[in-house]
Amino acid sequence: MFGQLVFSGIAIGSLYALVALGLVLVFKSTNLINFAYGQMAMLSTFFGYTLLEQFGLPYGVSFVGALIFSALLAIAVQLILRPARSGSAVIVATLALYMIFSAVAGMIWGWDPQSFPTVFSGDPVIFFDIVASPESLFNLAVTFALMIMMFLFFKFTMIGIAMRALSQNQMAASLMGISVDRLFILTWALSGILGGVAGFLVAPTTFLDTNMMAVLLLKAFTAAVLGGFTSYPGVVLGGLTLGVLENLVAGYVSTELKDTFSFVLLIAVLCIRPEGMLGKPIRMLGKKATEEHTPFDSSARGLSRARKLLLLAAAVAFPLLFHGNTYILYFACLVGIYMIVAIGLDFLIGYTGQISLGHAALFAIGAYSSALLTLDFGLPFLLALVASGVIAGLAGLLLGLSALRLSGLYLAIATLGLGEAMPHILMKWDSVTNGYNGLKPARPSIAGFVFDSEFKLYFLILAVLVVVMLVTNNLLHSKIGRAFIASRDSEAGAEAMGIPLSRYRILAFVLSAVFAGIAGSLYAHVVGFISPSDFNSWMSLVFLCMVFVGGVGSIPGAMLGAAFMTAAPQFFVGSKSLSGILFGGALLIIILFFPKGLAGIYATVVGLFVSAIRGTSAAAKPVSQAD
Amino acid sequence: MSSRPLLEIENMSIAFGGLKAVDNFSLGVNPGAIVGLIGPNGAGKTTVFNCIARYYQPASGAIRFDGVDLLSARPHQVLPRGIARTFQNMELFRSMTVQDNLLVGQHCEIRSGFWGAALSLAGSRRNESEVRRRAVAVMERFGLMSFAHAPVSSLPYGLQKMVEFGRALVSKPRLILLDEPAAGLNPSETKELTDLIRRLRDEDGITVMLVEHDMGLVRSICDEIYVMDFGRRIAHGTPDEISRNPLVIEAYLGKQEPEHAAA
Amino acid sequence: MLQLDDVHANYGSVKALRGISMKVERHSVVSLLGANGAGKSTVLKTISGLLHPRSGSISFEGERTDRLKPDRIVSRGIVMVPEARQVFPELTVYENLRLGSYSRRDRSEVVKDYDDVFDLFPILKTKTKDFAGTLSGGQQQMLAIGRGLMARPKLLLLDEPSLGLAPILVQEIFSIIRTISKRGTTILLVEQNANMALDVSDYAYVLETGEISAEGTAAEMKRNDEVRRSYLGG
Repeated sequence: MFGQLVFSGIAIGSLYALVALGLVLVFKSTNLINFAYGQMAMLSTFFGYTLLEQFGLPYGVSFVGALIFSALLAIAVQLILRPARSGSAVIVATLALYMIFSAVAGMIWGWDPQSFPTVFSGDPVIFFDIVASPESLFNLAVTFALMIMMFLFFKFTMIGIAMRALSQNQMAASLMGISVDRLFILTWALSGILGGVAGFLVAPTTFLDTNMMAVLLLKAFTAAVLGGFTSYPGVVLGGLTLGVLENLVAGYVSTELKDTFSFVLLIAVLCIRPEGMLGKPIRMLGKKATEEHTPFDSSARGLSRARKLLLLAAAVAFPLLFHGNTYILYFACLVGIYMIVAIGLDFLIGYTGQISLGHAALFAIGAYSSALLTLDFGLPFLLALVASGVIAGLAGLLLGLSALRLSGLYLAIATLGLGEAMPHILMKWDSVTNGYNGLKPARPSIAGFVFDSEFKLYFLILAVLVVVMLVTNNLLHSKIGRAFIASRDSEAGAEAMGIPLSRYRILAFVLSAVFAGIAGSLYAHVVGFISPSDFNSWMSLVFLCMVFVGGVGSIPGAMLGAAFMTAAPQFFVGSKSLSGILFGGALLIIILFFPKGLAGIYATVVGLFVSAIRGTSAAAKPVSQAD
Repeated sequence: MSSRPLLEIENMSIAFGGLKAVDNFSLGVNPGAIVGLIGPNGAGKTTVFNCIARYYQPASGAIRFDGVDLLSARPHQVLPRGIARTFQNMELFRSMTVQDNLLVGQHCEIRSGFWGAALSLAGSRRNESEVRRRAVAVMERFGLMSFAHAPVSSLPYGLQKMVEFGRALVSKPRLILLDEPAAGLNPSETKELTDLIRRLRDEDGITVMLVEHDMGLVRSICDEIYVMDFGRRIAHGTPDEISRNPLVIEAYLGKQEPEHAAA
Repeated sequence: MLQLDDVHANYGSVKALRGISMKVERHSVVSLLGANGAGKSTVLKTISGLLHPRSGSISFEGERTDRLKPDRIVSRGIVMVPEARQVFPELTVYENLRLGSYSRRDRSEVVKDYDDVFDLFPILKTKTKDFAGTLSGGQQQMLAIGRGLMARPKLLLLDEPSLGLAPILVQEIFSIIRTISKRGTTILLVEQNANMALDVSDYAYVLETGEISAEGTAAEMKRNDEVRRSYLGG
């Protein structure tokens, strides 16, 4: 039994290692994490499937065809991402590609899983008590051959050495006569091939589906972190170790715990030894990111009082206009809730340069706290609302404390892991959370007044939102807000001014979590039904996109982003594929070409408008845009 | 030299990966003095600064400020004790306005806590207008008033230097550490800088310690100079003594032609 | 051989070079002196293609190079040894040297050039399998120069080769510079240590806030009062 578990662990672990190698390859040379990597592999597998089934080509030819396709796709992605080669905006750009690729695959090949043919139908090989299917032997042979080839390539060929040099010092590499651009393309092509191989090999076991690589990609992250993100041998070791360990857990403890185990392992490794088994500490990513994206002009005075009142009046008038349309009011409520989350997340990203890819987990904590407190403990809604903010805030405190040890990339992966683990935890902890079947919190009521229609709920949410905005505004114009921005702009400078960096970093996390928790509570009572799968990573990524689309470091931007990300998909409701492509495309264009987001576009348009009205004769007062 | 030094460094050593960056280094800065620290690149001058600023923890030795041990302080506690600094590459808050930079400079003067700020309580608002007044006073002095609401990144290099000076001074420190203040300035700007540093001492009574490569500047304003090489102090004295010191000529000023040494 | 004509360049928003014109003759050693931040390294960066000039022209052996990318410039024969050495710390000494010959196609000649480099720097020969990151500062500087020589440059750009080195090593580096020059390589040298630089140079330019404030033969420069006061520590 043990031998069998180890063997099949190595077989699956080698696939993790392959995907992880592809991720690390790109990361080491371009300092970029490609979240669309799994979808790229998925596309190439579909392509190979078409060659195999539709065109009836032999397996080998289809395989090679898929790999060529995969390499070309990777090159295309590299060219698309080039305008934003580093910085956290790239993360969002790859997320946009993720959406687009999923949609494209769905459009061409449909959204239903299809089975992928197995070519090896011989008898399994048995040695000692280990049963090895020909397929798993083939997989092992291919992955190990690839790894050995990669080793030889990096060790002995001029191009391989040049690629390693490039990842160590780009400037010095170009002084050797190395064409940096060409080598980047090569790196991506190689990474694409690795992903393509992994996709093709894993497809027979997972079914062919737009989401087939999701789990594999997360496992690959875990493997990469486990082994050490900066070391190729480490990554291979990490993949194999993860494969064996999780198989042992599945075999001796419980199959159900297999996936949860790897997330727990991921977070544990990140907290205990973020550099992994063989890696070295990674240079700060976060710091670089803040230099890259010009944060929205934090010197702007903000809106005038008159305009604020006007906006508030419009917000109050809105439901009166759509009184009868519960559909629109319901979405307006959701927009308000997401605005609260986005404001909190922008604290973190825009004002302190930290990142969270797992905000849905905090949102979920708020939602479940509020639901359980009102249902099981009979707490009044208002108290539950405050309590869920506090509970989520405590979770944020823990997260903030661990974030001190993690920077940039590791923080991104740790929060992603948390976001991924949360639905699993909620599902498994069914004695409290009611698992799959979810909870049905009641409509909110305050002192006997029940908010039993979307119309009433709208005003409740508006009231909370206004309070959140007032507090945010006060904080940002106080020493606290200035300390946030100061420590983002220059850590050394801020410290020299007497600002305790870590305390403010944690504060940002806590604030952000409190907002997410409060929003989660509102969500639970407005929607009236919550279940674990509502709070998946996808939701976290949408939150993140809200901030980036709106314009990092701009509170009105974050709100605009929340409205856009909630409303836009409603316009494309007809086709899942079309909506994905249009939505992802819009996101990509905003991220790549309008680094200040919707808020920046708005400011530019208003600026043009104003100067057009004033005419050219008016004293041209240059709009001081730090760019 | 009768008074007790404001800043004292005693037998300080620190090593990075086996390489001794600072080796048994001692120094004393008297109140009201302008003291220069010079030496070749990599001699350990900036490391000394970073030890005072508490970024690095020396392996051995002591640093005292006004007779009190400084090594127990964390980086953010250095300014409240009365030591301000500027940076070699100006660590300004680039996206913030000039005025906001000066407000951050008074971060520790603002007493209000989280709730005071979040709810904009009266006490917090009073406090805020107080520090704003002081920021305005400093901007007037450094000729920055017309740029008060401009983001720092939009200012020319010379003015940014002024902002950094202002930011360091707005909290009224007793000692200011200047890390290569003249780097990137043209000769006439350097001249202005020289006057400015002198006025800091003469009018504000601030003690100055600076690292600088521009020997002209160092010679014209420093009362005392310490010379470092390979982490060690190789000379200490008045500017005249230093420029005649053969060790310093060998390590830093460069070998002299015979006719030149006579000049 | 190399000619700069009214070159202007920006570094971010800072005007780093304001109209630089200079010449480097074949087989000469030319040094570029000046204070920190005067723009010396920026001149080298524009020549090697790391930075493109905003206006003005740079030509090498009669052909414009100011729009070329660094890798094209290397293949023309201009090789820069960057400031602070910049060896690849996680590659071995041998791999570092091998990368130096990246743009060359004459394999058999490359093999000979390893021996030439080891002749100049015998210490490197004993450490070919060591990671460059484990070498001392002086050894790294030698490796950086050796790596540059592996490209068989016609013009070698040296950026502050003596920076942060012990005086004794500085002497050694300068004697090596002299040897390289005698073997027929043209050298453009940026140095803080003006005395040493003038000793090995034929001609020198002085840079001040992005402009050339003085030029002349090394002997003239040593006699120039202004230069002596500002850069020779007089």
